[in-house]
Amino acid sequence: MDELEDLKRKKMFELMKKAAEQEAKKNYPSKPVEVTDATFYDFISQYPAAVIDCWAPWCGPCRMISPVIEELSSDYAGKVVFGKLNVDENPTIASEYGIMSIPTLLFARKGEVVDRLIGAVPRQIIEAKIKQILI
Amino acid sequence: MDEAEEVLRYRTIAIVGLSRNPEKDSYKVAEFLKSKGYRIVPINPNAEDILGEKAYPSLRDLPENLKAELEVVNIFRRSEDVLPIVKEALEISKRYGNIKAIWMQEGVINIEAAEAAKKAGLIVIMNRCMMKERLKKEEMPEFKLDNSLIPSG
Repeated sequence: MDELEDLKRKKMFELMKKAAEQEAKKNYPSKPVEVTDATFYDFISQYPAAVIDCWAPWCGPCRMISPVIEELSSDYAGKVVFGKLNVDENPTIASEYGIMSIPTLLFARKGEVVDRLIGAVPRQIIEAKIKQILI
Repeated sequence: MDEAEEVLRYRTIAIVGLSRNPEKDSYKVAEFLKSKGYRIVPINPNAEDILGEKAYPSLRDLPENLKAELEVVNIFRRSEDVLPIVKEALEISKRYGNIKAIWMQEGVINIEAAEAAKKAGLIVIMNRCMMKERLKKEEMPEFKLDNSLIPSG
């Protein structure tokens, strides 16, 4: 009898875990979200793990990294959220974080920017950083 | 947007051959660019610092973080001395992938260096003055630069 209860509990736990994962996925956008001076802090506080791509439309290397960010946002949906901040339109955040070179990726954990990557770096390097500090 | 305008929108510029002498063009151009909010990185083997910025003997001597952040290499050197500078820039570009352009000032012309940089995917502006080009584009954003916020590590 006890064994049966135990099994029941285990099964229940698994189901709850699965439901929680699905819920997290729902709340985590699977596409990059546009972030502005006004929404930046809310955005990085809302999710435990976030990557913000600071870019500008005229910047060639920024256009190179953009599809990689799209891919990652879908591959890491539910774990890491991705934002895009146009540095021309949002000079306050760009200046606050001393962004003097684009693209710059800011890595935020629990509402705080903890690391960055500069330049159109390959996907593996971004992924390594995500694994190292965000998940 | 033409190529010069794209280049002028980047913010971190190494100025190779930047003189300590305020009478020289390189100094005047660098001072102007700094006043517009660009982050300038002086490259000069005979100076400690210029315009309040630490100077480095060559591009190769830049610290890792600056190599990664460098976006534009602006050259004030004799045309025949340009190729090794561009080669250094291309080495850094290959390693960090962040240099977007080589800018040779008015009177600086080196086709071989220009071809090498273009082949590596960089924008090349040659025989033009960065200050004059920037002055033509007064509507461009002026960067708010607070040096204290730039991470040093």
